Amino acid sequence: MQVTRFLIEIRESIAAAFRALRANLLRSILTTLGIVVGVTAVIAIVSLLHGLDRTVKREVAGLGTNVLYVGKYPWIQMDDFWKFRNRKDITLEQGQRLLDLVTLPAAASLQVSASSTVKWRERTARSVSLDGHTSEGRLVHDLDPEFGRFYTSLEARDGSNVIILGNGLWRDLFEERDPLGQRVRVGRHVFTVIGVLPEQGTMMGMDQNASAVIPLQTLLKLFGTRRSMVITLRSPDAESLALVEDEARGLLRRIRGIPFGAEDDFAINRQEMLLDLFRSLTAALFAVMIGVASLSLLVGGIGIMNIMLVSVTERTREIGIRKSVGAKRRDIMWQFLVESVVVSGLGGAIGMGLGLAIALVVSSVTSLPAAAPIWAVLLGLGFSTSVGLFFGIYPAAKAAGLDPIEALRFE
Amino acid sequence: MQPIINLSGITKEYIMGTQIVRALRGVDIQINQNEYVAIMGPSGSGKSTLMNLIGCLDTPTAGTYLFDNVSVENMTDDELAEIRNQKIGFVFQTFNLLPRADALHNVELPLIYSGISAGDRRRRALEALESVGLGDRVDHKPNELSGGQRQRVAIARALVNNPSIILADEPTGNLDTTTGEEIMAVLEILFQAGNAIILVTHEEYIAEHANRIVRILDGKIGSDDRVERRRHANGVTAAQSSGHQ
Repeated sequence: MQVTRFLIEIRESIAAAFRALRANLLRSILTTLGIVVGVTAVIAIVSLLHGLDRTVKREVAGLGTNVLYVGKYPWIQMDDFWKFRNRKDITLEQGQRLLDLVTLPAAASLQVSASSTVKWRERTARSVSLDGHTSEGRLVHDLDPEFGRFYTSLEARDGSNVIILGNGLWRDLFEERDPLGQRVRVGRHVFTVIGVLPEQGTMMGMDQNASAVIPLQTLLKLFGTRRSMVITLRSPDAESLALVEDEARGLLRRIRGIPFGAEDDFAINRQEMLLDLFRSLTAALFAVMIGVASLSLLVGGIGIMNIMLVSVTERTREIGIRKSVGAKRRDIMWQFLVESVVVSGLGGAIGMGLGLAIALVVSSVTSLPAAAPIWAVLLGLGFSTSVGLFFGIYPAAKAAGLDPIEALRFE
Repeated sequence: MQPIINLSGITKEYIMGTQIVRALRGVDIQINQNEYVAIMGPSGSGKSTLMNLIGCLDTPTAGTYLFDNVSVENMTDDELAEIRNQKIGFVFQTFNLLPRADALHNVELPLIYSGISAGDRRRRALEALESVGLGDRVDHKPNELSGGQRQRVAIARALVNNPSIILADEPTGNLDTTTGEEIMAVLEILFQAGNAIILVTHEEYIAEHANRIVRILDGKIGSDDRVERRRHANGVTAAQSSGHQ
């Protein structure tokens, strides 16, 4: 009985709230503007950040979770670029000595990249990134071809002219025809296609599908030897990553003859570093967003409290009527609380729509992706209704406490 | 027979600034179920205060008030609201309808606060509107109705929850004589049907519709008389007069 009575009263409260809303439509919309702005900001920024986050994670995932990249340049350069530029290259010999000496990695390889045109018959792909790997590169980077094969250690050692095409490159040149055994021109040189890599994402802004893999020796022989090597080490698991790093650092310092106490003249990079950088950037953005959102929700809440106080005064007589026919304090309290929640919730809904629209527009105009996580939608609605609830309490209590005789006499 | 309303030694004092205003100075009155009582008195006599007390809108400073044998003088606001909801129907001079709600919803209002389900509410509200001759105006808002029709909506609202008494405060005060007479005819029908009616008025000819006239003077009962020759609302029944205004 109590429950049904409560439900009946809540229904009446909601109906009354919508009647009041309709009667003062413009005023209600203006009132809720603060909430709209707050929720719009939250949803738009969260959607964009979330989309960005997913993209960054996907791109960075291409680097491999347990893979260390030992090279001349750190990925994140806080210091002067010239400091790194002036470092001595990591030579092929140094790289190979390191690979001979390391004991902890599950797999280790050397790599160098170059850029060239690739031609097949009359079709040309320009500025193709050529990645030269030692044969272990297949294990370190999961470079198992979708079809065809990887080069053998013999082919790698001898510097054979064999090439494995990225998926997109294969589509561009061969239009999905069978490329195996076909001859392509890479720069001035003729290569035999032995495999095609599976579809991959972009990695750090580079489309992996548009690249090609050739043996390291081949790359050095045909495109020049004066390059700094990148040594890639795959740790057997996440736990031993630090050990692998320590071992590689110690060995490479010895190989490059760095005196005790001097700074490393190389950098050991891993995926985690990029994620950390991204996290610290997004954390700052989130903090700004929370500031903007809470400020506008506060302003919005005060606006709602203000308009509810006006509404209570305007409807003093209505409150008197309701009380005279038997409305209790609680009934009046609920009625005005529901009204305030409906107004702010409406603002939240409008803000959500606007926020999603902004995120979609931004992501279609720019290359930024957008994705609204469900928790953001719930957060937006939850926040706006709680603001309505909180700032509605005082006006509702004021309405509920009115004396019925005074209220009925109110002109 | 137990009186439905039993006031004894009722006083009511207000503090106005630094002054204590003694609006009622010891009122004793019993009203029975089958009575039609008019309460009269000049402004400032305490008539409105008495009506508010009888209507359970207010509590006395001292004295006892038994409503239907239940002592109400020390009840909380919410308990009084319950009594008003279940046992009292108000008819006001200014109608006091919700302006944005239609006639049906206005009549349903007391039932909402009794927790009656939507279907029952609608049925009972429709019945009440029929009984005051407004069956064809249920979806009209107050501003689409004439003064007399508005007051009938208010009467329908007053009787929809089958109250023990109907409390009418100057019900014809805002109406012309003809329309006022029609409203009195509606009240007459309710009285004939067995409702106790308490009518507050300062018009002698309106008061004469009642079978008992209580006059208030300076916060006390001045006189309490049976009416010798009751004036009957001139035979116009509610149903007949519904169409024209």
